[in-house]
Amino acid sequence: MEVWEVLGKRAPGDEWAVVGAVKAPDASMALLLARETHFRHKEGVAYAVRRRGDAEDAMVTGAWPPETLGGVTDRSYRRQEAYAGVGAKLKRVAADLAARGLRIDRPRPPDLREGGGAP
Amino acid sequence: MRIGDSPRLLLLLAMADDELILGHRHSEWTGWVPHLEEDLAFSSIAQDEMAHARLLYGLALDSLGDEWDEDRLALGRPPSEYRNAVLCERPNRDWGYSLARQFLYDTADDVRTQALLGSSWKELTEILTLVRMEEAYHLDHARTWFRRLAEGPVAAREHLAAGLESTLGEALAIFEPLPGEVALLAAGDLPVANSELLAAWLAGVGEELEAVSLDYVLERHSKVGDMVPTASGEMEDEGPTLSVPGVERVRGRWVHRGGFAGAGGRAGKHSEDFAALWGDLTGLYRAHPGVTW
Amino acid sequence: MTYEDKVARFRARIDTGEKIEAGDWMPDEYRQAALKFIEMHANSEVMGALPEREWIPRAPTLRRKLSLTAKVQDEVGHGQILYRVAEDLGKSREQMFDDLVNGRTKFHNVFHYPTKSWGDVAVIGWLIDGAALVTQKALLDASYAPYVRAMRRICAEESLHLRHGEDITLELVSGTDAQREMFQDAVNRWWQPIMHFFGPPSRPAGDVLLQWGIKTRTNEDLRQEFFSTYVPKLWDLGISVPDPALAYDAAAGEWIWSEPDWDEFWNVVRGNGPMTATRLGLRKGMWDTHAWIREAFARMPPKAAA
Repeated sequence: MEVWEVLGKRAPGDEWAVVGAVKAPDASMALLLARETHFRHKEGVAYAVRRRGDAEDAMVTGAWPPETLGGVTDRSYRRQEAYAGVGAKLKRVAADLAARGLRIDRPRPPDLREGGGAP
Repeated sequence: MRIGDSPRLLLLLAMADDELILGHRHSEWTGWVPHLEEDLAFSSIAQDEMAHARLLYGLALDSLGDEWDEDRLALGRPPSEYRNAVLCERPNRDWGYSLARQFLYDTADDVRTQALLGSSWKELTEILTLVRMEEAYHLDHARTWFRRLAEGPVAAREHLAAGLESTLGEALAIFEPLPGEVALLAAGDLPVANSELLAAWLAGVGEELEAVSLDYVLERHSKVGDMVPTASGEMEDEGPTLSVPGVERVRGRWVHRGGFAGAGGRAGKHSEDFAALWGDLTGLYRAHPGVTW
Repeated sequence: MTYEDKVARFRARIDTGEKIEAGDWMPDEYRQAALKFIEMHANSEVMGALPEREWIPRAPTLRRKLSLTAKVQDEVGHGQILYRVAEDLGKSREQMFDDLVNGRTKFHNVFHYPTKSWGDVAVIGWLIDGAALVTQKALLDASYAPYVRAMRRICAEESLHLRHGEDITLELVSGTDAQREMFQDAVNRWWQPIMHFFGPPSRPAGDVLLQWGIKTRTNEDLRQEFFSTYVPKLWDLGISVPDPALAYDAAAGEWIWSEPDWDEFWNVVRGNGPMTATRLGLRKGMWDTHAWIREAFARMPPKAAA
């Protein structure tokens, strides 16, 4: 088992950058794993691995095309956009609960708005 | 209210339930897979399977009434209405078992979905085109691990072989003929009969096992009439349990001998392991009908 | 240059805000302190996965099942990132894992407790991840650069988890009476562990981690930030906190609160929490019975396919 550096390109024109590392017994396992350890949140369009200690150009590129990295079916549940309305939701729920008399009315720090927003 | 049993619906549920139930089992590995990076890879595979189930349930909803939604389909049916193969509901045991199951299931699913790309049901082919893009990684995963274990130290080979032996018989039952299969074939919804799909899968898996001298696990299955255990005392008994074909090597190719008899997962008959899974999967949903979470 | 001179120079680098890289010379005390801190953080991520993963099979909707799986996946990912950082300070991951499962090293107190309901999933996802995020944001200023880089990714992912936890919470508190009770009950059970999580109020002069810049803020400072961020929201949602003394003192500009039982805290982190033995036992079982995988990985690569 060895340390394999993981490289990626965020956008097509970028240079390769080291984004992390995985532990694996060989290049094919390192590539298999690197795809999900470092690119499952759509962090890049290309990926590669390089055994630590090898020459800089000794990288092995991953075969999966960019559109498959991070999945092609609905992954919204793990992206920020899916929760974009949560702050507003908290305000609505808080207003509703206040109207029902459930709000706990005790002194709070002055710099937070009534009903609160997300941190 | 029963969900109904049109051939198209049962085709969808067979695949969707396979994916949901196996995805559920795969997701039970998340957090404690023996190799940290592999935990992440396998969790993505688990999420993929559940996402695929979701897509197929979505298509099924098109033909169901307003009282059905994605969660009611996934979590609101009684056990006898889940159409997954029994292989999918078995507990994870150890990594050798789970990996062997992933290998056999995903190679079988590949044969099935490849054939269904030729279906006359356009919405289904669109979904499966997407699904196959993700399943390609599952195959890469299965084969990379398969190679490393099969060509590894003795202990690794033995764990893989034991896993394959434990899963092979029930893997054959992925190709249990569907209720309504005749109608599906006639309509072109199912372009290729399950018995032919089984033959194609068996030939391919046979070659892969032979390449690493693990084909003896097929030989050990060869007796005809292996029973796939079904029906705990809690399930209604609706006829004889499923028996799967035997396998043999004929002129250099692995083929199945005999057919399926009785009824298994495709007919809603499950093993003694399904009740506990169903309790976990559906318990909270069913305890609070109609609420949002 | 004497060792003391080198240490003094190193300390001067930190005091001016310079960041230390893995290959830089560092005093043994710094290396050991950083390694131990980061190792405990990594341990906590993988042990934290265990209470949450209990609810993946039992999630009440398909979407929540997926998002909870992804969240636990991320926690494991954080462990992977942090163990890598720790490894480069000089201890192998295998050794760290072996030490963890055999009870020789520690992990955060909150992960020694059981979960009882979906309400716990909400509390863990919102309040506990919220507490963790407060401490983790402080680490973005740490002196050790590889740790800072790891924390950037971790904080970004934790922010998403926080929203997910908040979303689950909002559904519960705006739902049926049974759902509101589920959440309130979970808050009541988890409040003391959360208070413990920030650690006892410490004297900055005696805090080695603060001195080396591995930690950048005091325990009390972080706890106060947690109160200010979350207590008003809990009160807005009509959820009480089980500390009768908790109150904001406007004159003092700080929260007054009841000190929890610190003996319990020390007892738990030393390995006597309600779920410590069970969870370590599960991990150890998995570790011991899968030595064959480590062996398979240690071998030379398989022959190329024909």
